[in-house]
This record gives sequence, structure tokens and C-alpha cells, in this order.
Amino acid sequence: MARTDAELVAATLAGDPKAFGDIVRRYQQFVFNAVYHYLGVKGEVEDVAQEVFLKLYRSLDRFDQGRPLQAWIYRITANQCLDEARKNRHRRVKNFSDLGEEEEERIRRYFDEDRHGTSLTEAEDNQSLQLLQKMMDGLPEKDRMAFVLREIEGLSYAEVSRALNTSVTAARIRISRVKKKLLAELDEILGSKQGERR
Amino acid sequence: MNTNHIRFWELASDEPFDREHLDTCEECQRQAEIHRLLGIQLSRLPRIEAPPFFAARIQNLIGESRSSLVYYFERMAAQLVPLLTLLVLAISVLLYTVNDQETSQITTNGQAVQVLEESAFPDVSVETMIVLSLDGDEGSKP
Repeated sequence: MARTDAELVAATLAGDPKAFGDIVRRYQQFVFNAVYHYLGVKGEVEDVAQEVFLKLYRSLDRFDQGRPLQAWIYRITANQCLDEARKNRHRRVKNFSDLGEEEEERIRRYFDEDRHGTSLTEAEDNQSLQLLQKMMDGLPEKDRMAFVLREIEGLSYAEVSRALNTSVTAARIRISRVKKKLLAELDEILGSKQGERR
Repeated sequence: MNTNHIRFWELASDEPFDREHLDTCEECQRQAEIHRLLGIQLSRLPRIEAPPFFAARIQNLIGESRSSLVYYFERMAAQLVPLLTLLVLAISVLLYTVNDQETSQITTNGQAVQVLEESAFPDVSVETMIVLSLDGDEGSKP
């Protein structure tokens, strides 16, 4: 039978190296995808995820075992992502500048195909993350992190608030700010196409 | 009927909204469509898998760091920090007490004065300095 998180933490602290391996296996999918969807760059995900788990290991003796481990992992992941974003700020500005005409056209095509029920290629689905990153560009990093955790990784508002060390209301405001911008961008792009067609 | 537009960006995915308004408001119908498309886009974002030996690699990294001298020193230092802090505090208090007893004395008019080492002022004796300072105090009185 699988051991609980609390049992794995206790075993790790007692010096069982396999127990921490089990913790990594249990949460690696979450960490990899949260990092990937936040940073938008596949090549950096593994290094950042590795750092998340090493930090988790080093902080286990400070971890309050009365609390859920996953909340601790969400927080370390969010902090690590925000640190990376701070380090990479200059590069991000270069990579994720304003949407060009070509990218706007790609977004229109993406949604047109979706509306008409044609299937999208894997490459097109992959591009959608980059487009999403571009649309979110300019927003505060914490807002983007909150949005990724809630709307893409499916955490509850309470979990997002704990991960970002903020109140539930503040987390909701951050998320709605991102959604508002995304909806406005999409509205503008898709609306302009509809205008051309008329 | 509520004439306020629906604020889709504030809605959680499972949150109810004013459907009656939506049925009659073209603007909200357009926004609802965009909201739906965004939801589809988010649900279709690519996901990635952790490499098969990722957990094993983390275990190895931890194993290596545990066996290194640095790790032992770090652990030892972490355990010794409270003890060393207490020790430093105790020594500081002790030194302060001893120093206070040796270097302070009460003058006849009740003022505490610092006894100066003669070596710091080789040309003036301590007695002369005390006399001078008492003279000065008297001279400054109106």
C-alpha cells in the first residue's frame, strides 16, 4: 500500500533515501507542468524542477508536519518560478514582445479551426502556449503565477492563496486581472477579424 | 431583469451567472463565446512528462550532498547555532559584568566617573585630572 505524504516525510527525515524518491514521483508531474506553463520554455523546466525538489528536501526539517505537503510543494514551486522570472526578465522582454500581425493571424486561425470543429495539429497546440505567454506579457509575475496555478493546473483559490502567501481575495483579484486582459486581447483579435469579414 | 453585463473574468469555472441576461444581451453573448474559447485554449495547452529517471537523479543528488563534508558541516553548524548563540550571549554578559566592576567607581558627590588609564595620558596623572575636572565644575557654577 502506498505510504501517505506524512509517512514519506517522516521516513525521509529518518534517513530513508527511497522515501524522498517517492515524494518526487508523486509530485513531479505537477511541478514540471506548472513550471512549463509559467515559464513557457521547455528547455528550462527540468533544471527548475530539480531546484524545486532540492529546496524541498533541504526545507523538510522546517516543514510543519501537521500541514499538507502538497501546499508546501506548491509554495516552493511558485517561489522558484518567480525567482527564475526575475533572473530571466531581460530575456523574457526580448522573447515575449508585443504580438505581431503574423501571431494575431495564428490566433485567429487557431480559434477558427476550433469553431469549425477541425482538429488542430500538435504543433499548433504547442504554439498556443507561446501565444498565451505573449498575451499575458506585461502583467505582474505574481498575477501570471496565480493564473497558471488556478486556470491551468486546476488548484483551488485557497491553494493558490497559500502558494503565493496571500489572501484568497487577493488571489482571486490577481487571477481575474489576467483573465480580463486575455479576454480583452482575444476580443480585439477575433473581433477585428469579424469586422473584416463584414 | 438585470441590465449589468456579466463580468466573465471574475467568474470561476463552476460559478453561476445571470443566464436570463445572457439570453437577451448580444454583448454578453459575444463575451461568453470568447470566454468559452479561452477555456478551450487553456484545456488544450500541451503538457509535459518528467523524464523517467528524474526521481532517481534527485535521489542521487541528495545522496551525494549527504555524503559530502560540506553537508556534514552544514548540518553540524545548523545544530550548533543555538548553542553558540547562547555561549556568545553568556560570555558577553560575563565580560560586561567584570568590566563594569573593574572600571567604574562612585565619586564623593555621587557621580560615576570613568577611571582613565595613565598610559593613555602619560603627561597628566589621574589625580591631576580629577582635581582639574572638580575645579572646572566649580568654576562653571554661577
